[in-house]
Amino acid sequence: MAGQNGNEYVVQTQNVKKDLRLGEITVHAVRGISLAVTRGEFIGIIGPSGSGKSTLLGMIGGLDSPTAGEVFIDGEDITNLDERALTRVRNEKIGFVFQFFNLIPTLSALENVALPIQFAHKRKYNPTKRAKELLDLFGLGDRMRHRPSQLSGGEQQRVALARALANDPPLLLGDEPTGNLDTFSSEIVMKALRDVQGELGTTVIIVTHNMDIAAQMDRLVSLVDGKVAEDVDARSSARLAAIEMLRDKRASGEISLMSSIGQR
Amino acid sequence: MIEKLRFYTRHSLNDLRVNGRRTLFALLCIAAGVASIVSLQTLGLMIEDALTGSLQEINRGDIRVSTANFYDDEEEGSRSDDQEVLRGQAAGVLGKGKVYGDTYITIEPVPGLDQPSGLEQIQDWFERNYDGEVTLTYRQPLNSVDAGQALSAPEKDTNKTFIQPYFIEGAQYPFYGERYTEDGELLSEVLTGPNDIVISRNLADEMDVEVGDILRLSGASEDFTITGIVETDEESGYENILGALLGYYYIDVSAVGLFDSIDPGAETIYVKLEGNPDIDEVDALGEALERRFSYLNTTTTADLEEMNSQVSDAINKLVIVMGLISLLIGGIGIVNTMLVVVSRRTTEVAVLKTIGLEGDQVTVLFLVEAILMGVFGSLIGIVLGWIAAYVIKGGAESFLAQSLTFRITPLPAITGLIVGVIVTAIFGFLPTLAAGQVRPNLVLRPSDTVIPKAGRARSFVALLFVMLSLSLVTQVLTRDLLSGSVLRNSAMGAGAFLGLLMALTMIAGGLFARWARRNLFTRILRWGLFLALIPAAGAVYGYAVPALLILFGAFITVGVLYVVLWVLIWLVGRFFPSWRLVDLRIALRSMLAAKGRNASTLMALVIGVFTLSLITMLTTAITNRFEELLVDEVGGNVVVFASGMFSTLDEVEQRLSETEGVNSYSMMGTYELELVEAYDKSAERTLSYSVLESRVRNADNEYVDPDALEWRLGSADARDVTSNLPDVTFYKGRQLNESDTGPWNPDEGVYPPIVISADEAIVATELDIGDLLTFKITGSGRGDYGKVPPQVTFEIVGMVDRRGPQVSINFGSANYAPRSGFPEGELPDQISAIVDVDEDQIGALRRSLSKIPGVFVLETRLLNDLLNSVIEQFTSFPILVAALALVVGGIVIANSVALSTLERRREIAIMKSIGLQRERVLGMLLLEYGVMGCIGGLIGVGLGGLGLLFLLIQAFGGELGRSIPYMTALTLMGLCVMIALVAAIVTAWGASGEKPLNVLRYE
Repeated sequence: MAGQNGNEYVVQTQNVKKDLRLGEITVHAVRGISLAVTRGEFIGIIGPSGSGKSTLLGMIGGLDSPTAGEVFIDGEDITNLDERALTRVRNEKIGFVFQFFNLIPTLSALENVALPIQFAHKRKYNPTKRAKELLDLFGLGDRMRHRPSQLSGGEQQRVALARALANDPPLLLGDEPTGNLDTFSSEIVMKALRDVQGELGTTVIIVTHNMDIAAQMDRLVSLVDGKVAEDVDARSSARLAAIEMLRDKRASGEISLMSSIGQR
Repeated sequence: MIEKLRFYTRHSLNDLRVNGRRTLFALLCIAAGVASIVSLQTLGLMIEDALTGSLQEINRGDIRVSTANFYDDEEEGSRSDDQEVLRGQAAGVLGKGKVYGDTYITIEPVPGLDQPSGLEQIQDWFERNYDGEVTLTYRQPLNSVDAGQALSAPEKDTNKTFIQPYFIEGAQYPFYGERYTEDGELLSEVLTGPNDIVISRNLADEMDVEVGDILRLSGASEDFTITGIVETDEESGYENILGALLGYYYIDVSAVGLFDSIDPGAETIYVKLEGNPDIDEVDALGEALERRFSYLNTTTTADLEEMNSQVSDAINKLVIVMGLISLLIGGIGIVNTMLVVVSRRTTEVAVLKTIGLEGDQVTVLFLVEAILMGVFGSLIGIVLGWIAAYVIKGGAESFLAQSLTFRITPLPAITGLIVGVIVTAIFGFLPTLAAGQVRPNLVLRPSDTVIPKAGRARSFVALLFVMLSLSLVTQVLTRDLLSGSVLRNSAMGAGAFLGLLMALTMIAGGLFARWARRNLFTRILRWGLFLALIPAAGAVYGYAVPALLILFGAFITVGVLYVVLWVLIWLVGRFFPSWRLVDLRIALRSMLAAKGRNASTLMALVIGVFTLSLITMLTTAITNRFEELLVDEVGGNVVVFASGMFSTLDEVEQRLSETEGVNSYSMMGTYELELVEAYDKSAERTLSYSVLESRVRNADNEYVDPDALEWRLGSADARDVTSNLPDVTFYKGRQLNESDTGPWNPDEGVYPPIVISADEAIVATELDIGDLLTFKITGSGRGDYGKVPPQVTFEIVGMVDRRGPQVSINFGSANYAPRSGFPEGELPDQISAIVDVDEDQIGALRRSLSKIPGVFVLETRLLNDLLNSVIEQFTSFPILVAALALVVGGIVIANSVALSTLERRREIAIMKSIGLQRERVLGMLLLEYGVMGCIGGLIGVGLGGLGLLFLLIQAFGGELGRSIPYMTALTLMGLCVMIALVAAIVTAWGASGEKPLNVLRYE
């Protein structure tokens, strides 16, 4: 909890709700979700379209404020922070990876990655040096000077990943990070995410539709209609069962990165 | 900090580079505005250079002495022209022309007066009062139409009426600045004998003559030989515009004997003072001379300097104001561009905010981009401005009738750069403010439809800020143009009002609300402080920066215009039938979808078209109206002037009746009269002149000139009543007719009829139809002063309506009576004939009549031509400037089309993917912008038309129907549509050709 300096939980939500107004109707996108994520977890949020996955992720990431409930990030209550303070939280404590990469089209890979450090209030790193290290780490050492339009999807997403990690945040959020990639690129990005979690100890939360991706997560939170699904909910249990099956096949080597490469 | 700035700069530069096409048009918008400022200011400096150049050359001497015009009566109070002229004549300095009674300075002693000539007296005075050598030369007047004003080349059968004569001492003229012929000879070398003539290049071209050809001058008994041709601008300058306009010639004063009707004399004496006197000394001499010879006027180099600096000052101000307008039009383009830049990059802003960029940093980022655009745009604008200055130099040259030297100076460039950048930043501020408000959660649901908005209160405060900043820029640019206590006080009021609005907005926006919520006192303090302090600050600002008032007015005007355009676009888009044409329907819908931007885009076009249409339509209307007046009021297309006797009249009449093609003619003699008394028929009492005069003076009507009576009823034409009577509107009574031929018998109460011209003054006299007017026949032409002037009495039968502001044309008098009404044997002062002749026979008539000495033939068409060329001269420069505004408007449209195609890339791609051809896509865009051009033209030309109507009513009174130049209006509308279409084609061509897959995949 907040009183414990946030050391135990990187993310904690208490009965968060979010209502969205679409014209004249109000959509209850999130209807009271309580969630606790411990440091170093590799967690997936799954659910059908419109189940509130991205909305929840937005509130955890400080991109959006909840209509009700509380959100704690690394022990800090961000529920009622103003825009300026939220910006700082995002900059220092959270890294984002999106489905459509969202790189700044006019900047090179290196400049994109260096950006969050340049915006930081207190700099932990030298922007260029850190950006180079991260890009090297993700195997993009020779693509640093390229602009996003000159990179493949997988490369763009790895640049986005590097940018997300620039300030070494304790929390990495991914909104369908492989949704726009082919299987091969997806595997590479997932491996990178797993490495980040394993080697840097970063907490990773990923929202996904993709059951194969979900099968690679340590823990899954299944949402249905803006709530965490009950065990008895057939829509969720069927999905979880399918994911379990995929996880087994991965474990047995039936699905592997090598096989993807082999197919190419 | 520096690193952040570097990031902003690099990021902005990249963005500008990557979005090249969009950047180009945005830069052009700025460049066009800055180019206007730079070109106009460069031009202003060039004009200043030219005007303040060699004053002695312009003055053609250190001092120029002429007979007083007495236009400064009001200033000096008591100088009566008649008395002064009489004094001058008594002193032998002034002489009076024997034919026209004009005044000149004598160059020979007056017989019977024991005095030296005026020229000599002036020379003596200078020699006594100036410590140095003094040289004088003079210019002989040639003022009347039958002496020296018409020129013909018998061998070429060409002729020209109205020319500027320089009847000068060829050996001396001019004292400063030598005149060379095109063959490189000095004027003094080619103008040696009485039969030599040197003409200007424009005159030579018009008459198709060259050196060695023979020329015939009206009123001269011998022909002249062309001994040289000079460049037209040798003899010009804004105070001598006629030279360039009409063409001019030089003849030597030794030719004075060749002209019967003129007397040797000087209209101007040029004085040269050796020993380089300073300008103050010359000025003091000029004033002393005026004190000694109170009937003379002097123009010293100092006077000229003052006059010139006033003119150049006025031009400079005009130039700056026009430039500012252009820049503001360009500013609309900047707003549009920045709005699109921001809305196109909403997701990008959301991403930047996601990774830690704060709202105000985003604003700064976009502001940096706007400023960079301002810098680059201004730099391009400076270069374009210099080019434009070079191009419009010609217009300014003919406007000023003076050649200008093109010179690149740093001042306009610096002004352009600073103003360009500041205005871009100011205009860019509002959209960038919206960028800072983008919510970062957009990044999760990227959408084209989310348009960032800054919020009402914030936008309003920002708008006020923009107004304040722009007023500061305007104030700096216009400086002393905006002073004066009325302006300052009004600006103070406007400032206070804006301050109040701002305070209310801030209160409503909840500024310091949380702080004030503590207790009642802080709440009251907050309201009090806001409502008192901010309006007070506004008032102080208004007082210090009176330009605020102009900006306030401009914003309101622009706001109203914007709303009108918005509504019009909405109406057209919503209700204009599409006749089941899908292309038109889509075009109308697209127009409707971007009402706001379209309205602001059109505003740019409207301002340009309005300025241009007002000027061009006004000139066309004036020309049209004048043409009508000439036809209606003159009663013929040729006027024949004849000096001399009734015998001449008979000869003219004889030839008129013999010449083929003459449809009708009316002979006219103009008598100078003096009203003695009037008889009021209804009241049956006689009214003395002073009674009538006091009625005029007591008239409660702003149009009444208290002295009008004297000259209104100071002359009358004796004319034929059978034909060529003017076609005019009557206030009361009737036109003369064929029964008005007499005989008249005053003893039995049968008086000759008269038609008088009834303006406000005549109406104020309460004269009416049936009243009698008794005149003395006076006139300088008769020379028989000993005789008691004969009297004549007329009965008023008609009163021509000349009430209200209007223009009338008559070559004789405004009043007319039958010839038989004037006593037999009394000679008129001037004889003329109004002739209606077939156009193709005018030449034959001229040849036939010019054989009679002292007869001069004037085609009324020439007057119209003359008016046209005067109008052309004076409007060439304003039209060029207005055209510049229109060009800026065109660029703003091009920019808007570019932006809208950019926004609609996806839409275009979708249309193409379902099978639309490129041409059809382009066609739709053209339709859309064609309709917009129509709306812009309609409003712009409509507003211009309203302005025109207002001016026409002021100038001509009623009867507007035929004067309104419908064709010009239509042409301007067409021009508007053309500009919109060209802008659309140029910018949309590329966008319509993109491969749909590329767009759909990557957009």
